[in-house]
Amino acid sequence: MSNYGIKITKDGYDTSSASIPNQILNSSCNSLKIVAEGQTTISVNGNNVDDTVTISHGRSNIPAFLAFAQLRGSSTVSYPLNSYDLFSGSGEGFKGTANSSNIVFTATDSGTAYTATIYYYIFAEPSR
Amino acid sequence: MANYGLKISKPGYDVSSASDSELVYSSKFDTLKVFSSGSGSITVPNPMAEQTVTITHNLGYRPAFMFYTQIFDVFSGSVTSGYYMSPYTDPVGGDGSIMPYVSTTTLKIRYGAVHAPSGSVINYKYFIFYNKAI
Repeated sequence: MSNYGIKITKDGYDTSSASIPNQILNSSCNSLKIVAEGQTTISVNGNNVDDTVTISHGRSNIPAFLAFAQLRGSSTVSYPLNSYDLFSGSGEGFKGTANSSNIVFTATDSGTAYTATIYYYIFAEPSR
Repeated sequence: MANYGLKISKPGYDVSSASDSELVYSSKFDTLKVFSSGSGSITVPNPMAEQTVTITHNLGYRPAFMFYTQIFDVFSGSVTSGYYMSPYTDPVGGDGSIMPYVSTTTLKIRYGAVHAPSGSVINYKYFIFYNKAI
């Protein structure tokens, strides 16, 4: 790329010499753009079967995404995607997958019914 | 949203017609904004026991985060040079797991009691974002 564009550096760094990790924005580098975010829930039956919630993303690709979940073990903390067996022996689990239409989040519990709370981000960038 | 703001397209794309994913940046969209980042290490005690790393953020809400850690590779019998995105629950979770979770004041990472042998030094790296996790 030619030597033009936009750079914004972190405090204390010279824009003309700062390395990319010390830049907040560099127009030669892509960024993950959040096109949607939101909160949803899953009614977990507690029967060791996956329970799901489906989010229609409305994108023309299979988007990248990020999510966190409040699970049964604690109502005061959130766990990231692919959290399993949270040391409680209850078989708690949380995962997500994307296809061309939807993002599907899954929560599982082996013993107790409860409501899992999910917070998610959907990005403009494709996941494949 | 009105039709104004800042857009930067990828090389070869017309900024006036580029799709969202053909843009490097658009002020229309939020991004993940780093609140803090850092690194550290743990040394597995003798005898092996569960350990919890606590990183204080005090944001007052549960923030989104990313956590990466070295693991002990049982096949090579050594700590990996690479960092694995966590949670890391190989093979089935439980006391071999490395599990991060976030509250309104801290990011905690629970290293299970048998994730690595005594004396192993495990390095980690984290990012905490201003964006919320709930």
